[in-house]
Amino acid sequence: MSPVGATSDLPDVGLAGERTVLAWNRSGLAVVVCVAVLLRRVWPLHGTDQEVALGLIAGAVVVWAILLAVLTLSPGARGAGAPHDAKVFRLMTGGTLLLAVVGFVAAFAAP
Amino acid sequence: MADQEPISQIEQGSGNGGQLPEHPAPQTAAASREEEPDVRFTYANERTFLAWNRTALALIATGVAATQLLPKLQLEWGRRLLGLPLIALGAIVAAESLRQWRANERAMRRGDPLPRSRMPVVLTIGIVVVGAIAVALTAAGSR
Repeated sequence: MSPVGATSDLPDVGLAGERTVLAWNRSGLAVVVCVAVLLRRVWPLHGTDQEVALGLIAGAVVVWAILLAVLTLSPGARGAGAPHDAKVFRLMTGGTLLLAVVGFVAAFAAP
Repeated sequence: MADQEPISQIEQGSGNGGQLPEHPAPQTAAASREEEPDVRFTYANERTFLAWNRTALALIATGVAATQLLPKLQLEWGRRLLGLPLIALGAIVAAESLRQWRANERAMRRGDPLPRSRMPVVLTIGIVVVGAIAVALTAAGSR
C-alpha cells in the first residue's frame, strides 16, 4: 500500500486509518439496509407511509453519523482519527443485537 | 499513540486523549505488562470487528427478509423456519465479534499469540444448517 518510490519500512498509518473509516461507513450502510428491510415489513410503502419510512431511514443515517462523531471526538475519546474506545464497539454490537431482537419479534408478528 | 491506556482502562471508557489520568488507578500485574501495539494492528483488529459485524447485519437482514418478504410457503412455519435461524446466527456473530475484538486487543497488548477465532466454524455450520432447511422446505413444497 506504500506509494511508488517509498521505502517499504515507512509506516502506513494514514492509509490504515482511512481504510478503517471506510469500514465504519460500510457498516453504517449495512445498518441502514437492515433498518430499511425491517421498515418494509412495518409499513406497506404507499403514499404518505413511504415518505415516513424514507424519513425514518434518513433519520437513522443522521443519528448514526452524529453518534459516531460524538464518540470519536468527545473528550473521553482518544482523539480524531485514533482507534475507537471499547464503548463504540459495545454500542455497535448492542445496536446489532437490538435489530436482531426486533427482527425476531417482527417474525412472530407476521400474519 | 504510545501513551494510551491499557485495555483494562480503555474498556472502562476512561480514555482522556492520551493524557495521563488525573487519579491513576493502582495497576494490576497484568495491566502493567501491557504495551501499546502498533496502531496499524489496532486498526486491523477494528476493521475485522466491523467486517464480522457487517456479516451479522447481513444475516439479520436476510432473516428478516425471509420471514417478512417471501411468499407463503406450503409449510405454515416455513418462512420462520428459514428466517429465525439466520437472525439467531446474526445475533451470535455480533456478540462473538465483540468478544473476539477484546481478546485480540488484549493479546496484542500483552504480546501473546492471537487467540484462535471460532467464528468461521460457527458461521459455516450455521449457513450449512440454514441451507439444509431451505432444501428440505423446497423438497416438501414440490410434493
